[in-house]
Amino acid sequence: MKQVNQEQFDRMRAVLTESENLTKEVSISAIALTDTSLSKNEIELGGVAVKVAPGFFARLASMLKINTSLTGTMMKNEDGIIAMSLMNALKDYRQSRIGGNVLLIANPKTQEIVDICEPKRYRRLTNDSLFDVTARILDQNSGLSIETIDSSSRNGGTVINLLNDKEVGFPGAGKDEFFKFGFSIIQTSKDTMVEMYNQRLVCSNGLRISLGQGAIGGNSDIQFQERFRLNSTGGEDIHTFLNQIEAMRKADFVPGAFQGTLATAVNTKASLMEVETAMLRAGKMVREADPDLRKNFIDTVNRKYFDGYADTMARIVRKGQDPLKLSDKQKSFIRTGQSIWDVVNSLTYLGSNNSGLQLENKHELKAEAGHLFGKGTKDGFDLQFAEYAQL
Amino acid sequence: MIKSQGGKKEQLIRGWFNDKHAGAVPRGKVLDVYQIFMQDIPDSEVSYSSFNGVLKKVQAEGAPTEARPADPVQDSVVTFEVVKVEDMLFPNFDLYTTGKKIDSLFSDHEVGGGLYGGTVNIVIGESGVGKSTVMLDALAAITDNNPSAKVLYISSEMTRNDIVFYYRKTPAIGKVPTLLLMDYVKTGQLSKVLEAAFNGEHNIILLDSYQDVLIKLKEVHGWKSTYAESWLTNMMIDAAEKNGCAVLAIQHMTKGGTYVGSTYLKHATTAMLEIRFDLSSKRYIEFSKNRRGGSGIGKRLYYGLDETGSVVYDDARYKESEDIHKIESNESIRQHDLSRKFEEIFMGRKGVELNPDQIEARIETEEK
Repeated sequence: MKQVNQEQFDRMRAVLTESENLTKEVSISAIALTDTSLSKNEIELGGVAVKVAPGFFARLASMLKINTSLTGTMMKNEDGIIAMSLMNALKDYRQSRIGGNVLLIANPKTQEIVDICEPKRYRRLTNDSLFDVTARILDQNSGLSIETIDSSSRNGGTVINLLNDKEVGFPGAGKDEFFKFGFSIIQTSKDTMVEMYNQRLVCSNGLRISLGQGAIGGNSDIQFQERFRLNSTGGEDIHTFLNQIEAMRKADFVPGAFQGTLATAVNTKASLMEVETAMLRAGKMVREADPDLRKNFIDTVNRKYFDGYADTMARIVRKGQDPLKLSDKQKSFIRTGQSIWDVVNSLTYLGSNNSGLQLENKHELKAEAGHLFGKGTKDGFDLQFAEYAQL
Repeated sequence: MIKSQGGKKEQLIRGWFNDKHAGAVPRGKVLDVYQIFMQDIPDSEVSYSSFNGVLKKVQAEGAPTEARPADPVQDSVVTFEVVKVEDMLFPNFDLYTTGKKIDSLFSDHEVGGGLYGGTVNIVIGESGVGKSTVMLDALAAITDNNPSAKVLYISSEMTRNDIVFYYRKTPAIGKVPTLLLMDYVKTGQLSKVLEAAFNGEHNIILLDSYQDVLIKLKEVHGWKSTYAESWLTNMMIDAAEKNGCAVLAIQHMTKGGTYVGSTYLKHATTAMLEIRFDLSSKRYIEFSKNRRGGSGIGKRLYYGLDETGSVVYDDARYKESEDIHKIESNESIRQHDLSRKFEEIFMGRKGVELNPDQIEARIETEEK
């Protein structure tokens, strides 16, 4: 199994620290919008014109509690002056009635302001501190190692996947099915958080699990949250955050609901809707710029990893129905030949480096696979209770 | 002139007005005048309330008020000395160690730390948290580690019967020389006994408790709060400054968990040690102020009692607390750095680099 060694760890730390987004708390009155702000993608900050990224105005509008669809409509209709006037007015109102500061987040490479939020909403460690925290966790847990460090070029997010060396097998999941469990420390644009993570040893593909709160299998006394975030970068909250990880360690990082969900995922056929959603997500990540090549590439991905989709569509046509006229609800009642577990594994395989495919931000598919897998403990898979349909 | 009449003490006061103030009542606050009276005739055994009564009586009889303020300092030439710190002469401050983790919180000037002589330390905490137990354990450990150190435990609340039960629970305190103030409440010698204790040759004095001694001083001698407080505080400071004594004074807290006591005492102290329960009712100690050990401020040292009643500190947890504090400090520096870079790029101005004290202050503010 591949692992991140100290040299790679240090290199990733240097790279991610260098590219860290910049933050600054300012009074909202320091931000001024002009008639040309929207067209030029610019704001004035303390009297200086500053570039903003696409989407910044939508975020500002949302923070000022302006209806999202109204903002979209105004911007689409090129009613920029009205939108800016509205935002200016609400900005001034907020300053006079509520006061307080806002936090600006900027990309140092593009020299653009990419986001704005309430200061207390920003609960993210710097990347440098994230590596400090990770190093401390590794020091205290000799069984843990870093499997991968994923970094997203799209939103500056970083994911450090850690695995415990204990191999865990489950009855009923197949004699070759062994897993390693651990967790992912995730840096989003505003949060530092933890999710459960596991790896299927037969193929070494990782899965970010999202099962809801669970207890360890066989020991329901040990409860731990399998998804939590840092509440602030203050000492108390860092301590609580590390304590939550310690609670996971006591349970060998195995969420209790995993075994049952695995058995259900193996034995439940995925619906057409579930396969289609997974397939579209994977297709979205095809990087190829040439439209023809892109289409061929997507077709290949679909045929190879989501074969249940094409087979099912053909079956629907043979039955004399038009598959393009089916609603999402109808699709969720149609069974495919792939099990949920097959679809989850297709996503994790595409999300790993093993596939060799040119996909953008492919590691996000690990989380996508986790969401599909986690449906079993939350809403249930579409066809999880299909055997009762005839009762 | 003021008529000489009344009992022996009244005549003494009236005589003082005549002799020292030419038959007039000195100008100024009654308490200040009383203090001057006590300085002039220290053995008079006149209480503040008696003095106040005679003064009012004399004024009612039509005695004039002195034309100038009673404080002789005001008209005299004030002299003061300005000396460079490097030219000052310092006593040799002794360092007393307990051999326990609490040493590293007491001070950080020497490796391993310890309690310095010449300091006034306030210990606060809600009732039942173990203020006396922790401090007595420290005193007992100091006695073991520094056999030549003269320690004294002054208890204002406990009687002999109380302390017997305390001793059975915590045998380590058996070796700590103890002064039970309750023995001197009835005799009216409270202030004299305290003065003698603080001006003696003790290296470390634990006063338990500051608030209760104040109450007793007011009750026994009829002193007002401000007078009793400044008398006791000044005596503690003098013991530290002049005798090189390490004074530990236990102070109570409000129900809301905040310090009760004068700002004067708070500012005059070298260190403030808080003993508290955390949210899960675990006990810990934490310095909120320490002029001898700034690096330990805000760090929690958890403790419990072993089967012999000795205080056992959780060193591993303290190490964890130190690690987290370090992460927090570094994070604060990094965030400030990102903010400074933001200003340079987008606001065309250079930010200011924070020094470690400013970073500590910032963390404190954020925590509040």
